[in-house]
Amino acid sequence: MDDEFGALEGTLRRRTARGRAAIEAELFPRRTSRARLRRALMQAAGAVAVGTFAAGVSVFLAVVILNFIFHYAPG
Amino acid sequence: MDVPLHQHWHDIYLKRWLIVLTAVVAAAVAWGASAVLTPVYEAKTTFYLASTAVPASFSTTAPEAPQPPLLPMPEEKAASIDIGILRGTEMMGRLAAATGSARDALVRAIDVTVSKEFMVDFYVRDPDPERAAEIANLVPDLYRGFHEEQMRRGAAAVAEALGTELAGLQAERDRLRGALAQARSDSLSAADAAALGARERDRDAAREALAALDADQARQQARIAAIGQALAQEAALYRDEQTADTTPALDAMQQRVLDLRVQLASASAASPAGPQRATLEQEIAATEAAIADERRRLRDAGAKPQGSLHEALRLDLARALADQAASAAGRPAAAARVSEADARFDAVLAALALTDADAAALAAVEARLAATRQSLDAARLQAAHVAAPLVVVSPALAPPRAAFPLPVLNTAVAALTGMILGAYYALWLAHAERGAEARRTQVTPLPFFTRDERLALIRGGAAGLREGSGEPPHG
Repeated sequence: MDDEFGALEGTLRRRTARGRAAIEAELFPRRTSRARLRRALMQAAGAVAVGTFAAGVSVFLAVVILNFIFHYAPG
Repeated sequence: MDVPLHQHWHDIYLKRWLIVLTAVVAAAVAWGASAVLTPVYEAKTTFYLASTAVPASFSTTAPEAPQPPLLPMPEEKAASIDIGILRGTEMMGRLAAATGSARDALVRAIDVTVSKEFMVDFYVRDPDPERAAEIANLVPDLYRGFHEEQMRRGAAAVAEALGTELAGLQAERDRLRGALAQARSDSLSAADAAALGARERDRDAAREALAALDADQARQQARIAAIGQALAQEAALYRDEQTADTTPALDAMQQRVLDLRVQLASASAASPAGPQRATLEQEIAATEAAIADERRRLRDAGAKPQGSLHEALRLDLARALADQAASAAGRPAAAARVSEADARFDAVLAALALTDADAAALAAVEARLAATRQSLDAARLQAAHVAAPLVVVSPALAPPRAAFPLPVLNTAVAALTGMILGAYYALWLAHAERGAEARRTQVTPLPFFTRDERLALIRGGAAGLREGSGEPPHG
């Protein structure tokens, strides 16, 4: 009984939150678009950071790891 | 929070542009870094040290078989020794001194490996390709010099030891000689000395007889040569026909005299006191004088009776040859007598000298001296002419392309890594978004109801939701 109640409560809460978000988006469209842009930019910055890290790792791999296997440079 | 697998794929698909962006950024950064980094060039030289080469021999006996070609030892251990020496402090120090660079930097800039063919591959890295090749090409010479120095040192040590031994042996020989001479002079009694003297006289007499025989032989030989010369002269005389009774000139002169006499007779008949007659008489007198001279010459030439001298000479030659044969027949006997007398003398001398042990020791020392001298000469030659059997298979050339960085490889690897990490990033973002939504839901206040109303409402709402959106109820 309680489990069923908890599950239903969760669904209700989710629905309510989504409804609030929809109302907020409808009432304050600028605020939501800014937030979306900000999020996209933050994600892009994260992608750049991850890409830079990947480049560093790969150069390290090419220089150090391949050196051990193929003697400094393959071919 | 349980999330099905397809949800992850869905998240990755939704954020595909983020993944692409990550990969592109990684590739661009790697390319840029490769362009910015100072290129390093790598030169390689390949050589081997023929450890199985036959060492140089300076002995008198020439090798029967030709030397085998210089080949690397087909064993990795031997090549590993080369690597150990090449990477060692001594060789690195020499290379640093030869190139004028710091040893630590040089150690970092080189690599030495054994190829599959058990040869030594020496790699040198430097920002300047020419310098890299130059350093790499110095290595075989330095390595050869290192080995030759070791060999020279070894041969010099051997030569020094041999020299010491030689000096010792010479001192021993001198001592033994002195002892031998002393023992001989001490052990000689009067009777022994008389016997020895008699043998010595015998020997000298035999030698003198042989010498006289040889002198006699020489004399006979000279005589034979003289007779042969006389015979040759006589043969030449006969060959020139100088023993004939007349000559064409004499015949002509006699004919001329006859003609002149005829002319004189006719002239006398014509004018007994004419000037022509006197001229003719003078000419006749002159011609007759010439005839007389010629006849005298002919007489002199024919004075040697034909055959008589020749036979005498041949007789002399035969006698001389017989004498020589006789003395030659006696010579072997005389020589045998000489050697016999020598042997007797030596036998007496050996019997008298009571120092057999010393003599044997002296002979042994002499033999060792000869052997040691030969070895010393060989060692000195080896020390002077050492040659390490090092063969350069491929000298280093200035590399046309840099070994580091490799822009294409770096970019490719970076793009791949960026894609993988980008996918993880996308998954993490999706996970974070789900977490944020859950927290937001958690803090969203529910509408206020009494307990009964709340329950009834929720049940009704749940049924409505089930019918409306098809969302399955939990539990």
